[in-house]
Amino acid sequence: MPAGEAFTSRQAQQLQHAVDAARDETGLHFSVYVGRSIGDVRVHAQKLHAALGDDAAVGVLVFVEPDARRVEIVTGETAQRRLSDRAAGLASLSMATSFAGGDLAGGIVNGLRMMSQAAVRPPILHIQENSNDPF
Amino acid sequence: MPVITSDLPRHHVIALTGRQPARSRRPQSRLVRLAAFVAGTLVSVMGTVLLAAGPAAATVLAIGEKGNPGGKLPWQETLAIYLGIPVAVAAIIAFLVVLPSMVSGPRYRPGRPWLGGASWFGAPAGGEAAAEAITVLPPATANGGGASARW
Repeated sequence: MPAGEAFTSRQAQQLQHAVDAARDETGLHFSVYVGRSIGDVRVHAQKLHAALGDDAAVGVLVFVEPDARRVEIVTGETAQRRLSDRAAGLASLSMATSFAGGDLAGGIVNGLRMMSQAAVRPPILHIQENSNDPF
Repeated sequence: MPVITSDLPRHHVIALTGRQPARSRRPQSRLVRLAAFVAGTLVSVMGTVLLAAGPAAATVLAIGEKGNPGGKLPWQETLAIYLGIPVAVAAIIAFLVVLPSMVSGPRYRPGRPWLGGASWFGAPAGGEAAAEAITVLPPATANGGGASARW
């Protein structure tokens, strides 16, 4: 079978939608790369993350390497404060479980959803602590 | 006296009774139409088979009456019937099985090599060229964190 598109157009649409939704919900710059790694997987993932340029600080890059069967999540300097390594690890494990079942697109969409839920802006409950006005 | 409306044109019926006449044909559901189509196809196929088999049955009877078992089947025909038809059926079934995956393209299977190309969702303007050009990681990436997993 010749090398072709990795995802069907419907899957690609779902993935793009998931990336956009995660960006809108969190304000972080989510990005998903699926493909082969040149050299070490982690180093390659970090290079891809650095390629986000000005957005790298708030960037979250998900690198899926199907040949090496590895998934790497790289969070930027600012993004890490919102998306802890623990939350990223949980999402990566969830994705790996889906990938082991052969479901790349579904795993990525679920992983993005988990990360955006973990990184969503905390609601501001008390703006004016000493105000008499309840609203 | 009830008005017999079945043979009258529609606008006469409305004028006489002041009501809309009931429609004779109810809208058929998709399921009913599908069932009708399947039944029609089956009947026509069976009919064709029976028509084709009619003369053959008559020949067999005639041979039986005369006590003549008939001529030997030529080896080409024997081969075609006992080898050609089963192989053709198997090939058709195999084709039908493979067809969906041929249409949908390569799919990832764990343990098999990755056949698809690279895709980047939410890619930066520079794309992969920008990633390859990087030799030293900027602090925004180097001071960040992350996680990894394998499957």
